[in-house]
Amino acid sequence: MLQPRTYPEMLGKALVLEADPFIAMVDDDEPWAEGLFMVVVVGLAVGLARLVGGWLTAAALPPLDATLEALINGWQQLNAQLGLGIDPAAADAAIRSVVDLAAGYNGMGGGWTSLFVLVATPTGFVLQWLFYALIAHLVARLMGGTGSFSQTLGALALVMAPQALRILTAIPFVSVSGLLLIVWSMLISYRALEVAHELPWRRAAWTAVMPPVVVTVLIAGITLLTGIVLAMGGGA
Amino acid sequence: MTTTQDLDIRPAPAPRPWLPTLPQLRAAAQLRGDDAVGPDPIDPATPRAAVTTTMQQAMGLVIGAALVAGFLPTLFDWLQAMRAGTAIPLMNLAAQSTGSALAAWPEPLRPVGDTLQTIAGLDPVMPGWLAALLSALAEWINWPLTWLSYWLVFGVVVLLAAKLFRASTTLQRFYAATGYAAVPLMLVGLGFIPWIGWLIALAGAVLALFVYWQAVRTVTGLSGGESALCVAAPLALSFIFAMVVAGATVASVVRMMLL
Repeated sequence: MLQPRTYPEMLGKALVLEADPFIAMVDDDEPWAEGLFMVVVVGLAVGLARLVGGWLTAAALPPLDATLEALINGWQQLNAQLGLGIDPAAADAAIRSVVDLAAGYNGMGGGWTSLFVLVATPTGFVLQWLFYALIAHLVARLMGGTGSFSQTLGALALVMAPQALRILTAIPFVSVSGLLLIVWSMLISYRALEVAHELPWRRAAWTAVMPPVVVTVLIAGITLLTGIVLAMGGGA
Repeated sequence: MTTTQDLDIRPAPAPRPWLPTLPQLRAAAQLRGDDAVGPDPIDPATPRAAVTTTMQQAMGLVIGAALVAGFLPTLFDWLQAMRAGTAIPLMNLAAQSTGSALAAWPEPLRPVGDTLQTIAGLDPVMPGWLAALLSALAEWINWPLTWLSYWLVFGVVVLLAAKLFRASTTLQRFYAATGYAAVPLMLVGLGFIPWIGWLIALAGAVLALFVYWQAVRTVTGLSGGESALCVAAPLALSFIFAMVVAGATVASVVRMMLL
Protein backbone atom coordinates (compact mmCIF):
# COMPACT_ATOMS: atom_id res chain seq x y z
CA MET A 1 0.00 0.00 0.00
CA LEU A 2 1.36 3.41 -0.96
CA GLN A 3 1.43 6.25 1.54
CA PRO A 4 -0.89 9.22 0.82
CA ARG A 5 2.06 11.56 1.43
CA THR A 6 3.57 10.21 -1.80
CA TYR A 7 0.48 11.23 -3.79
CA PRO A 8 1.60 14.77 -4.65
CA GLU A 9 4.89 13.46 -6.07
CA MET A 10 3.11 10.69 -7.98
CA LEU A 11 0.52 13.09 -9.40
CA GLY A 12 3.30 15.54 -10.33
CA LYS A 13 5.22 12.82 -12.19
CA ALA A 14 2.02 11.69 -13.91
CA LEU A 15 1.52 15.25 -15.15
CA VAL A 16 4.83 15.05 -16.99
CA LEU A 17 3.98 11.56 -18.26
CA GLU A 18 6.79 9.71 -16.45
CA ALA A 19 6.34 5.96 -16.24
CA ASP A 20 7.30 5.56 -12.53
CA PRO A 21 3.94 6.41 -10.89
CA PHE A 22 2.02 4.19 -13.31
CA ILE A 23 4.39 1.30 -12.63
CA ALA A 24 4.02 1.89 -8.86
CA MET A 25 0.24 1.77 -9.14
CA VAL A 26 0.21 -1.32 -11.37
CA ASP A 27 2.65 -3.17 -9.09
CA ASP A 28 0.70 -2.30 -5.92
CA ASP A 29 -0.84 -5.26 -4.05
CA GLU A 30 -4.31 -3.77 -4.46
CA PRO A 31 -4.24 -1.27 -7.32
CA TRP A 32 -8.02 -0.63 -7.38
CA ALA A 33 -8.14 0.19 -3.65
CA GLU A 34 -5.12 2.47 -3.99
CA GLY A 35 -6.72 4.11 -7.01
CA LEU A 36 -10.07 4.58 -5.28
CA PHE A 37 -8.40 6.19 -2.28
CA MET A 38 -6.36 8.51 -4.51
CA VAL A 39 -9.41 9.56 -6.53
CA VAL A 40 -11.41 10.27 -3.35
CA VAL A 41 -8.54 12.27 -1.81
CA VAL A 42 -8.16 14.41 -4.96
CA GLY A 43 -11.95 14.78 -5.17
CA LEU A 44 -12.22 15.93 -1.56
CA ALA A 45 -9.38 18.42 -2.01
CA VAL A 46 -10.96 19.85 -5.16
CA GLY A 47 -14.42 19.88 -3.53
CA LEU A 48 -13.05 21.78 -0.54
CA ALA A 49 -11.30 24.24 -2.86
CA ARG A 50 -14.54 24.77 -4.80
CA LEU A 51 -16.41 25.35 -1.55
CA VAL A 52 -13.92 27.95 -0.32
CA GLY A 53 -13.67 29.45 -3.82
CA GLY A 54 -17.45 29.68 -4.03
CA TRP A 55 -17.71 31.53 -0.72
CA LEU A 56 -14.90 33.92 -1.62
CA THR A 57 -16.27 34.53 -5.13
CA ALA A 58 -19.71 35.29 -3.71
CA ALA A 59 -18.07 37.78 -1.33
CA ALA A 60 -15.95 39.38 -4.07
CA LEU A 61 -19.04 40.03 -6.22
CA PRO A 62 -22.05 42.29 -5.56
CA PRO A 63 -24.86 40.74 -3.45
CA LEU A 64 -26.68 37.99 -5.35
CA ASP A 65 -30.13 39.55 -4.78
CA ALA A 66 -29.08 42.90 -6.26
CA THR A 67 -27.47 41.17 -9.25
CA LEU A 68 -30.60 39.11 -9.79
CA GLU A 69 -32.81 42.22 -9.72
CA ALA A 70 -30.58 43.92 -12.29
CA LEU A 71 -30.71 40.85 -14.53
CA ILE A 72 -34.52 40.65 -14.32
CA ASN A 73 -34.90 44.38 -15.07
CA GLY A 74 -32.55 44.04 -18.03
CA TRP A 75 -34.45 41.05 -19.35
CA GLN A 76 -37.77 42.91 -19.07
CA GLN A 77 -36.32 45.85 -21.05
CA LEU A 78 -34.93 43.51 -23.72
CA ASN A 79 -38.25 41.65 -23.89
CA ALA A 80 -40.13 44.94 -24.42
CA GLN A 81 -37.62 46.33 -26.92
CA LEU A 82 -37.48 43.24 -29.11
CA GLY A 83 -41.18 42.45 -28.63
CA LEU A 84 -40.39 38.83 -27.84
CA GLY A 85 -43.78 38.42 -26.15
CA ILE A 86 -42.49 36.05 -23.48
CA ASP A 87 -44.57 35.89 -20.27
CA PRO A 88 -42.63 38.12 -17.77
CA ALA A 89 -43.58 36.02 -14.72
CA ALA A 90 -42.35 32.81 -16.38
CA ALA A 91 -39.14 34.54 -17.51
CA ASP A 92 -38.53 35.90 -13.97
CA ALA A 93 -38.96 32.44 -12.50
CA ALA A 94 -36.65 30.91 -15.14
CA ILE A 95 -33.92 33.53 -14.51
CA ARG A 96 -34.16 33.03 -10.73
CA SER A 97 -33.91 29.26 -11.02
CA VAL A 98 -30.97 29.44 -13.47
CA VAL A 99 -29.08 31.89 -11.22
CA ASP A 100 -29.84 29.79 -8.11
CA LEU A 101 -28.72 26.63 -9.89
CA ALA A 102 -25.50 28.24 -11.14
CA ALA A 103 -24.79 29.72 -7.71
CA GLY A 104 -25.47 26.37 -6.03
CA TYR A 105 -23.28 24.48 -8.52
CA ASN A 106 -20.40 26.88 -7.92
CA GLY A 107 -20.79 26.74 -4.15
CA MET A 108 -22.00 30.36 -4.03
CA GLY A 109 -25.52 29.58 -2.86
CA GLY A 110 -24.81 30.01 0.83
CA GLY A 111 -26.22 27.87 3.65
CA TRP A 112 -26.06 24.10 3.70
CA THR A 113 -26.56 23.79 -0.08
CA SER A 114 -23.04 25.10 -0.61
CA LEU A 115 -21.73 21.94 1.07
CA PHE A 116 -23.16 19.96 -1.86
CA VAL A 117 -19.91 20.38 -3.83
CA LEU A 118 -18.01 18.65 -1.03
CA VAL A 119 -19.94 15.45 -1.74
CA ALA A 120 -20.67 15.91 -5.44
CA THR A 121 -17.04 16.44 -6.52
CA PRO A 122 -15.49 13.20 -5.17
CA THR A 123 -18.61 11.24 -6.17
CA GLY A 124 -18.40 12.61 -9.70
CA PHE A 125 -14.69 11.84 -9.89
CA VAL A 126 -15.20 8.24 -8.73
CA LEU A 127 -18.04 7.62 -11.21
CA GLN A 128 -16.02 9.18 -14.03
CA TRP A 129 -12.98 7.06 -13.12
CA LEU A 130 -14.97 3.80 -12.93
CA PHE A 131 -16.82 4.43 -16.19
CA TYR A 132 -13.69 5.44 -18.08
CA ALA A 133 -11.69 2.50 -16.69
CA LEU A 134 -14.41 -0.02 -17.55
CA ILE A 135 -14.59 0.98 -21.21
CA ALA A 136 -10.83 1.52 -21.53
CA HIS A 137 -10.14 -1.90 -20.01
CA LEU A 138 -12.49 -3.67 -22.42
CA VAL A 139 -10.96 -1.88 -25.39
CA ALA A 140 -7.41 -2.52 -24.12
CA ARG A 141 -8.10 -6.25 -23.82
CA LEU A 142 -9.54 -6.28 -27.33
CA MET A 143 -6.37 -4.54 -28.50
CA GLY A 144 -4.26 -7.30 -26.94
CA GLY A 145 -3.59 -5.69 -23.55
CA THR A 146 -2.37 -7.89 -20.71
CA GLY A 147 -3.28 -5.89 -17.59
CA SER A 148 -6.00 -6.86 -15.10
CA PHE A 149 -9.02 -4.64 -14.41
CA SER A 150 -7.58 -3.84 -10.99
CA GLN A 151 -4.33 -2.66 -12.60
CA THR A 152 -6.27 -0.58 -15.12
CA LEU A 153 -8.15 1.08 -12.27
CA GLY A 154 -4.92 1.73 -10.38
CA ALA A 155 -3.07 3.25 -13.32
CA LEU A 156 -6.05 5.32 -14.48
CA ALA A 157 -6.48 6.85 -11.01
CA LEU A 158 -3.51 9.05 -11.97
CA VAL A 159 -5.69 10.61 -14.67
CA MET A 160 -7.01 12.73 -11.79
CA ALA A 161 -3.66 14.59 -11.69
CA PRO A 162 -4.78 17.52 -13.88
CA GLN A 163 -7.98 17.81 -11.81
CA ALA A 164 -5.71 18.67 -8.86
CA LEU A 165 -5.06 21.99 -10.64
CA ARG A 166 -8.63 22.89 -9.71
CA ILE A 167 -7.46 23.26 -6.11
CA LEU A 168 -6.33 26.69 -7.32
CA THR A 169 -10.00 27.64 -7.77
CA ALA A 170 -10.09 28.25 -4.02
CA ILE A 171 -8.93 31.71 -5.13
CA PRO A 172 -11.91 33.54 -6.65
CA PHE A 173 -11.82 34.13 -10.43
CA VAL A 174 -9.15 31.49 -11.07
CA SER A 175 -10.33 29.41 -14.00
CA VAL A 176 -8.88 26.14 -15.21
CA SER A 177 -9.71 25.53 -18.86
CA GLY A 178 -11.91 22.50 -19.50
CA LEU A 179 -9.99 21.84 -22.70
CA LEU A 180 -6.72 21.74 -20.74
CA LEU A 181 -8.19 19.21 -18.30
CA ILE A 182 -9.58 17.02 -21.09
CA VAL A 183 -6.41 17.02 -23.21
CA TRP A 184 -4.07 16.49 -20.25
CA SER A 185 -6.27 13.68 -18.88
CA MET A 186 -6.26 12.01 -22.29
CA LEU A 187 -2.46 12.19 -22.48
CA ILE A 188 -2.13 10.67 -19.00
CA SER A 189 -4.68 7.95 -19.73
CA TYR A 190 -2.74 7.09 -22.88
CA ARG A 191 0.42 6.69 -20.79
CA ALA A 192 -1.44 4.74 -18.07
CA LEU A 193 -2.89 2.26 -20.57
CA GLU A 194 0.44 1.94 -22.37
CA VAL A 195 2.10 0.96 -19.06
CA ALA A 196 -0.70 -1.11 -17.49
CA HIS A 197 -1.41 -3.17 -20.61
CA GLU A 198 2.02 -3.03 -22.24
CA LEU A 199 0.44 -1.75 -25.44
CA PRO A 200 2.34 -0.19 -28.36
CA TRP A 201 1.77 3.56 -28.66
CA ARG A 202 -0.74 3.44 -31.50
CA ARG A 203 -3.01 0.90 -29.76
CA ALA A 204 -2.69 2.75 -26.44
CA ALA A 205 -3.74 5.98 -28.16
CA TRP A 206 -6.83 4.36 -29.70
CA THR A 207 -7.72 2.80 -26.36
CA ALA A 208 -7.43 6.16 -24.57
CA VAL A 209 -9.66 7.85 -27.16
CA MET A 210 -12.40 5.19 -27.18
CA PRO A 211 -14.21 6.00 -23.86
CA PRO A 212 -15.05 9.62 -24.90
CA VAL A 213 -16.10 8.32 -28.33
CA VAL A 214 -18.39 5.74 -26.71
CA VAL A 215 -19.90 8.42 -24.43
CA THR A 216 -20.49 10.75 -27.39
CA VAL A 217 -22.16 7.98 -29.39
CA LEU A 218 -24.28 7.00 -26.36
CA ILE A 219 -25.43 10.59 -25.77
CA ALA A 220 -26.20 11.08 -29.45
CA GLY A 221 -28.12 7.79 -29.52
CA ILE A 222 -30.12 8.60 -26.40
CA THR A 223 -30.91 12.10 -27.72
CA LEU A 224 -32.04 10.67 -31.06
CA LEU A 225 -34.14 7.98 -29.37
CA THR A 226 -35.74 10.53 -27.02
CA GLY A 227 -36.52 12.77 -29.99
CA ILE A 228 -38.14 9.88 -31.89
CA VAL A 229 -40.19 8.81 -28.84
CA LEU A 230 -41.33 12.39 -28.21
CA ALA A 231 -42.21 12.88 -31.86
CA MET A 232 -44.21 9.65 -31.90
CA GLY A 233 -45.93 10.58 -28.62
CA GLY A 234 -46.70 14.07 -29.97
CA GLY A 235 -48.14 12.56 -33.13
CA ALA A 236 -50.38 10.25 -31.13
CA MET B 1 23.46 -4.82 15.05
CA THR B 2 23.65 -2.74 11.94
CA THR B 3 26.51 -3.49 9.62
CA THR B 4 27.75 -1.36 6.79
CA GLN B 5 26.17 -3.85 4.42
CA ASP B 6 22.73 -3.03 5.85
CA LEU B 7 23.16 0.64 5.23
CA ASP B 8 22.15 1.98 1.87
CA ILE B 9 25.30 3.75 0.81
CA ARG B 10 24.06 4.61 -2.67
CA PRO B 11 23.87 8.35 -3.20
CA ALA B 12 20.35 9.73 -2.96
CA PRO B 13 18.95 10.55 -6.39
CA ALA B 14 19.37 14.23 -7.20
CA PRO B 15 16.07 16.10 -7.27
CA ARG B 16 14.89 16.67 -10.81
CA PRO B 17 15.26 20.32 -11.76
CA TRP B 18 12.15 22.29 -12.63
CA LEU B 19 13.88 24.59 -15.12
CA PRO B 20 16.39 24.07 -17.95
CA THR B 21 19.97 24.92 -17.09
CA LEU B 22 21.50 28.25 -18.06
CA PRO B 23 23.54 26.74 -20.96
CA GLN B 24 20.36 25.11 -22.29
CA LEU B 25 18.48 28.42 -22.09
CA ARG B 26 21.41 30.22 -23.73
CA ALA B 27 21.42 27.69 -26.57
CA ALA B 28 17.67 28.18 -27.00
CA ALA B 29 18.10 31.96 -27.04
CA GLN B 30 20.75 31.59 -29.75
CA LEU B 31 18.23 29.46 -31.70
CA ARG B 32 20.45 26.36 -31.40
CA GLY B 33 17.54 23.97 -30.85
CA ASP B 34 19.64 20.78 -31.04
CA ASP B 35 21.96 21.93 -28.23
CA ALA B 36 19.09 23.17 -26.05
CA VAL B 37 17.00 20.01 -26.28
CA GLY B 38 19.90 17.56 -26.29
CA PRO B 39 20.00 14.05 -27.76
CA ASP B 40 17.09 11.61 -27.51
CA PRO B 41 17.51 9.70 -24.19
CA ILE B 42 15.74 6.64 -25.68
CA ASP B 43 18.30 6.37 -28.47
CA PRO B 44 20.83 3.64 -27.48
CA ALA B 45 23.61 5.74 -29.00
CA THR B 46 22.97 8.54 -26.51
CA PRO B 47 25.60 8.57 -23.74
CA ARG B 48 24.22 8.24 -20.19
CA ALA B 49 25.77 11.54 -19.13
CA ALA B 50 24.17 13.49 -21.98
CA VAL B 51 22.16 16.52 -20.90
CA THR B 52 18.62 16.48 -22.25
CA THR B 53 15.68 18.73 -21.51
CA THR B 54 12.88 16.92 -19.67
CA MET B 55 9.14 17.58 -19.91
CA GLN B 56 9.26 18.58 -16.23
CA GLN B 57 11.81 21.29 -17.04
CA ALA B 58 9.68 22.46 -19.94
CA MET B 59 6.58 22.63 -17.73
CA GLY B 60 8.53 24.66 -15.18
CA LEU B 61 9.72 26.95 -17.96
CA VAL B 62 6.19 27.49 -19.29
CA ILE B 63 4.86 28.27 -15.79
CA GLY B 64 7.80 30.50 -14.88
CA ALA B 65 7.72 32.44 -18.16
CA ALA B 66 3.96 32.95 -17.85
CA LEU B 67 4.30 34.26 -14.29
CA VAL B 68 7.01 36.70 -15.41
CA ALA B 69 4.96 37.80 -18.44
CA GLY B 70 1.81 38.24 -16.39
CA PHE B 71 3.36 40.24 -13.56
CA LEU B 72 3.26 43.75 -15.06
CA PRO B 73 -0.19 43.52 -16.68
CA THR B 74 -1.58 42.14 -13.42
CA LEU B 75 0.07 44.89 -11.41
CA PHE B 76 -1.40 47.47 -13.80
CA ASP B 77 -4.90 45.96 -13.51
CA TRP B 78 -4.61 45.60 -9.73
CA LEU B 79 -3.79 49.29 -9.28
CA GLN B 80 -6.74 50.27 -11.44
CA ALA B 81 -9.09 47.90 -9.60
CA MET B 82 -7.85 49.23 -6.23
CA ARG B 83 -8.71 52.74 -7.40
CA ALA B 84 -12.16 51.57 -8.56
CA GLY B 85 -12.68 49.60 -5.33
CA THR B 86 -13.88 46.47 -7.07
CA ALA B 87 -12.78 43.15 -8.56
CA ILE B 88 -10.98 43.16 -11.94
CA PRO B 89 -13.74 41.27 -13.88
CA LEU B 90 -16.30 43.86 -12.71
CA MET B 91 -13.94 46.68 -13.62
CA ASN B 92 -13.53 45.18 -17.12
CA LEU B 93 -17.30 44.77 -17.38
CA ALA B 94 -17.73 48.45 -16.54
CA ALA B 95 -15.14 49.41 -19.17
CA GLN B 96 -16.98 47.41 -21.85
CA SER B 97 -20.42 48.79 -21.06
CA THR B 98 -19.92 52.51 -20.46
CA GLY B 99 -19.47 55.63 -22.58
CA SER B 100 -18.22 55.07 -26.11
CA ALA B 101 -18.09 51.30 -25.59
CA LEU B 102 -21.83 51.25 -24.84
CA ALA B 103 -22.52 53.38 -27.92
CA ALA B 104 -20.92 50.67 -30.04
CA TRP B 105 -23.54 48.12 -28.92
CA PRO B 106 -26.28 47.43 -31.55
CA GLU B 107 -29.49 49.29 -30.63
CA PRO B 108 -31.62 46.19 -29.88
CA LEU B 109 -28.95 44.89 -27.47
CA ARG B 110 -28.59 48.21 -25.59
CA PRO B 111 -30.56 46.87 -22.55
CA VAL B 112 -27.92 44.14 -22.18
CA GLY B 113 -25.21 46.82 -22.04
CA ASP B 114 -27.24 48.81 -19.50
CA THR B 115 -27.68 45.72 -17.33
CA LEU B 116 -23.96 44.94 -17.40
CA GLN B 117 -23.24 48.55 -16.48
CA THR B 118 -25.65 48.34 -13.52
CA ILE B 119 -24.09 45.09 -12.26
CA ALA B 120 -20.57 46.52 -12.67
CA GLY B 121 -21.57 49.53 -10.59
CA LEU B 122 -22.71 47.46 -7.59
CA ASP B 123 -20.35 47.26 -4.61
CA PRO B 124 -18.84 43.85 -3.80
CA VAL B 125 -19.81 42.20 -0.50
CA MET B 126 -16.21 42.17 0.79
CA PRO B 127 -14.14 45.37 1.01
CA GLY B 128 -13.27 46.66 -2.47
CA TRP B 129 -9.50 46.57 -1.90
CA LEU B 130 -9.67 42.88 -0.89
CA ALA B 131 -11.79 41.99 -3.94
CA ALA B 132 -9.23 43.83 -6.09
CA LEU B 133 -6.32 41.98 -4.45
CA LEU B 134 -7.88 38.51 -4.77
CA SER B 135 -8.94 39.08 -8.37
CA ALA B 136 -5.44 40.35 -9.23
CA LEU B 137 -3.92 37.22 -7.69
CA ALA B 138 -6.34 35.12 -9.76
CA GLU B 139 -5.48 37.03 -12.92
CA TRP B 140 -1.80 36.35 -12.31
CA ILE B 141 -2.40 32.63 -11.68
CA ASN B 142 -4.54 32.43 -14.82
CA TRP B 143 -1.50 33.35 -16.95
CA PRO B 144 0.35 30.02 -16.41
CA LEU B 145 -2.92 28.10 -16.59
CA THR B 146 -3.63 29.65 -19.98
CA TRP B 147 -0.09 29.07 -21.23
CA LEU B 148 -0.22 25.43 -20.10
CA SER B 149 -3.40 25.09 -22.19
CA TYR B 150 -1.66 26.54 -25.25
CA TRP B 151 1.39 24.33 -24.75
CA LEU B 152 -0.54 21.08 -24.29
CA VAL B 153 -3.53 21.54 -26.60
CA PHE B 154 -1.56 23.19 -29.42
CA GLY B 155 1.08 20.49 -28.95
CA VAL B 156 -1.34 17.59 -29.33
CA VAL B 157 -2.58 18.87 -32.70
CA VAL B 158 0.97 19.57 -33.93
CA LEU B 159 2.15 16.14 -32.78
CA LEU B 160 -0.77 14.40 -34.49
CA ALA B 161 0.02 16.28 -37.69
CA ALA B 162 3.70 15.30 -37.33
CA LYS B 163 2.71 11.65 -36.86
CA LEU B 164 0.83 11.85 -40.16
CA PHE B 165 4.20 12.71 -41.72
CA ARG B 166 5.58 9.60 -39.96
CA ALA B 167 7.61 11.57 -37.44
CA SER B 168 9.31 9.49 -34.75
CA THR B 169 9.29 11.16 -31.37
CA THR B 170 7.81 10.60 -27.93
CA LEU B 171 5.25 12.78 -26.17
CA GLN B 172 7.72 13.71 -23.43
CA ARG B 173 10.51 14.70 -25.80
CA PHE B 174 8.11 16.67 -27.97
CA TYR B 175 6.75 18.67 -25.03
CA ALA B 176 10.25 19.08 -23.58
CA ALA B 177 11.43 20.75 -26.79
CA THR B 178 8.39 22.91 -27.47
CA GLY B 179 8.45 24.40 -23.95
CA TYR B 180 11.27 26.72 -25.10
CA ALA B 181 8.73 28.71 -27.15
CA ALA B 182 7.50 30.16 -23.84
CA VAL B 183 10.65 32.29 -23.50
CA PRO B 184 10.06 34.71 -26.44
CA LEU B 185 6.33 34.58 -25.67
CA MET B 186 7.13 36.54 -22.49
CA LEU B 187 7.13 39.67 -24.67
CA VAL B 188 3.35 39.29 -24.93
CA GLY B 189 3.23 40.49 -21.32
CA LEU B 190 4.29 43.95 -22.53
CA GLY B 191 1.25 44.21 -24.76
CA PHE B 192 -0.51 46.53 -22.32
CA ILE B 193 1.98 49.37 -23.01
CA PRO B 194 0.18 52.13 -24.95
CA TRP B 195 1.06 52.67 -28.63
CA ILE B 196 3.92 50.16 -29.04
CA GLY B 197 2.68 47.36 -26.78
CA TRP B 198 0.86 45.50 -29.54
CA LEU B 199 3.97 45.59 -31.71
CA ILE B 200 6.14 44.07 -28.97
CA ALA B 201 3.48 41.42 -28.30
CA LEU B 202 3.25 40.59 -32.00
CA ALA B 203 7.03 40.29 -32.24
CA GLY B 204 7.00 37.96 -29.22
CA ALA B 205 4.27 35.78 -30.72
CA VAL B 206 6.05 35.54 -34.09
CA LEU B 207 9.37 34.70 -32.43
CA ALA B 208 7.65 32.09 -30.26
CA LEU B 209 6.18 30.46 -33.37
CA PHE B 210 9.64 30.42 -34.95
CA VAL B 211 11.18 28.75 -31.87
CA TYR B 212 8.27 26.30 -31.80
CA TRP B 213 8.82 25.43 -35.48
CA GLN B 214 12.52 24.91 -34.82
CA ALA B 215 11.75 22.66 -31.82
CA VAL B 216 9.32 20.58 -33.92
CA ARG B 217 11.95 20.21 -36.64
CA THR B 218 14.60 19.19 -34.08
CA VAL B 219 12.61 16.47 -32.30
CA THR B 220 10.65 15.05 -35.22
CA GLY B 221 13.37 15.06 -37.84
CA LEU B 222 10.88 16.43 -40.38
CA SER B 223 11.88 18.92 -43.08
CA GLY B 224 11.35 22.66 -42.58
CA GLY B 225 8.27 22.70 -44.81
CA GLU B 226 6.67 19.68 -43.14
CA SER B 227 7.35 21.17 -39.70
CA ALA B 228 5.77 24.45 -40.81
CA LEU B 229 2.66 22.60 -41.98
CA CYS B 230 2.45 20.81 -38.62
CA VAL B 231 2.73 24.10 -36.68
CA ALA B 232 0.13 25.68 -38.96
CA ALA B 233 -2.37 22.84 -38.37
CA PRO B 234 -3.76 24.07 -35.00
CA LEU B 235 -3.75 27.68 -36.25
CA ALA B 236 -5.79 26.64 -39.30
CA LEU B 237 -8.20 24.65 -37.12
CA SER B 238 -8.60 27.62 -34.71
CA PHE B 239 -9.20 29.95 -37.65
CA ILE B 240 -11.91 27.73 -39.12
CA PHE B 241 -13.57 27.35 -35.70
CA ALA B 242 -13.43 31.13 -35.08
CA MET B 243 -14.93 31.79 -38.54
CA VAL B 244 -17.83 29.42 -37.85
CA VAL B 245 -18.52 31.00 -34.43
CA ALA B 246 -18.20 34.56 -35.79
CA GLY B 247 -20.49 33.73 -38.72
CA ALA B 248 -23.13 32.28 -36.40
CA THR B 249 -22.88 35.32 -34.08
CA VAL B 250 -23.17 37.84 -36.93
CA ALA B 251 -26.14 35.93 -38.38
CA SER B 252 -27.88 35.97 -34.97
CA VAL B 253 -27.29 39.71 -34.47
CA VAL B 254 -28.46 40.57 -38.01
CA ARG B 255 -31.58 38.43 -37.46
CA MET B 256 -32.32 40.26 -34.17
CA MET B 257 -31.84 43.66 -35.83
CA LEU B 258 -34.18 42.75 -38.67
CA LEU B 259 -36.93 41.63 -36.30
